[in-house]
Amino acid sequence: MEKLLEILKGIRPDVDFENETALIDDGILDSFDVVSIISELDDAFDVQIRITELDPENFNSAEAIWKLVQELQAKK
Amino acid sequence: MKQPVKLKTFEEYSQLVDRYNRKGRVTNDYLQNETADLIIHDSLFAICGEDNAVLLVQKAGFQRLYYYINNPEESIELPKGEYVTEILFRGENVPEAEVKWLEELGFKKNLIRDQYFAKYASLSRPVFISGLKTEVATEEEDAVWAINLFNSTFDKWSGDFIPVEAAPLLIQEQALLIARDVNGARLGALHLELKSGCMWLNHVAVVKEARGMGVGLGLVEHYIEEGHINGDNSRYMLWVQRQNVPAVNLYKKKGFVPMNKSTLSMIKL
Repeated sequence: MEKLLEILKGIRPDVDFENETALIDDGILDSFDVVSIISELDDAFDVQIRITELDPENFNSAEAIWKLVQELQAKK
Repeated sequence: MKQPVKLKTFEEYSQLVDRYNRKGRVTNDYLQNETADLIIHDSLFAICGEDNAVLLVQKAGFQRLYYYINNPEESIELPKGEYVTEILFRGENVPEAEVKWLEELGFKKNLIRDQYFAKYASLSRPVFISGLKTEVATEEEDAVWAINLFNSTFDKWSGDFIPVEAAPLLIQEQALLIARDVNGARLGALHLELKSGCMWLNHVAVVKEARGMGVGLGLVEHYIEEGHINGDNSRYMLWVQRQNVPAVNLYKKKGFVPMNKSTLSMIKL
């Protein structure tokens, strides 16, 4: 989770990823951010997120993103 | 030359992404939520190579291009026409491999835009510009004037071109601010949009004769007040052309900070 937070902060240093729970719903992250996050997750955790898995709920908080990463890792 | 193929279903788009979205690829495909709409309106096309693919979206007089590059050696030939694409990047360095691939397709570098952000609490105190009046536009005539000012001020490829037909909607949405002098003459306009609780500054332009007189600042002050909907936590965002130094300085002085997010637009004519 710490590594994930580091990645997220690297992409958007202005966002409080520890506390925000509506990153997509509140428009804090846009699609460019999501694309960047997906790309970084692929590099860091070796997980590929398909277009059909781009459920906004999975990106609303750092915790939700972490859960998605863990699920994808478990599937491998 | 391969002709663009219309993507008729989301399934077809999804299959394309599955095929070209490989590890190590580069892409600027941030369409996501827009994809379904584009498909419904017969507006999404693709040209696929062995390893690389481009998506094309028809805009006013040109096509916007999105790419998946897996193999820098494989080029994709485009039919005659005007194209624009944007390379999204973070930090200082423009991704040179993408630039090179696009240059080989006939694209040339256009301009860089940076995204800025502010919370109300971090903004500097409002400045009052004497002799300037700003107001939310209520007349269609003012909206048409503002749209024409934006479209003649901004680069049609990198900015968001607004059709004149959008004037009634912009009035209805109270999305335009107009600046006037004491005699009522129009000096500038600002286009704002509230999206997911964040106030976006989409366009701001000032007539040539009135530049450097604080008209832009007056409009920005009004925009900030329009977006002051959540106390100190009210959020504001905008894109600004990097070479537009007066505008960049104005935003920085007001308290806007760069968001580590930039785009380089490239055009092929």
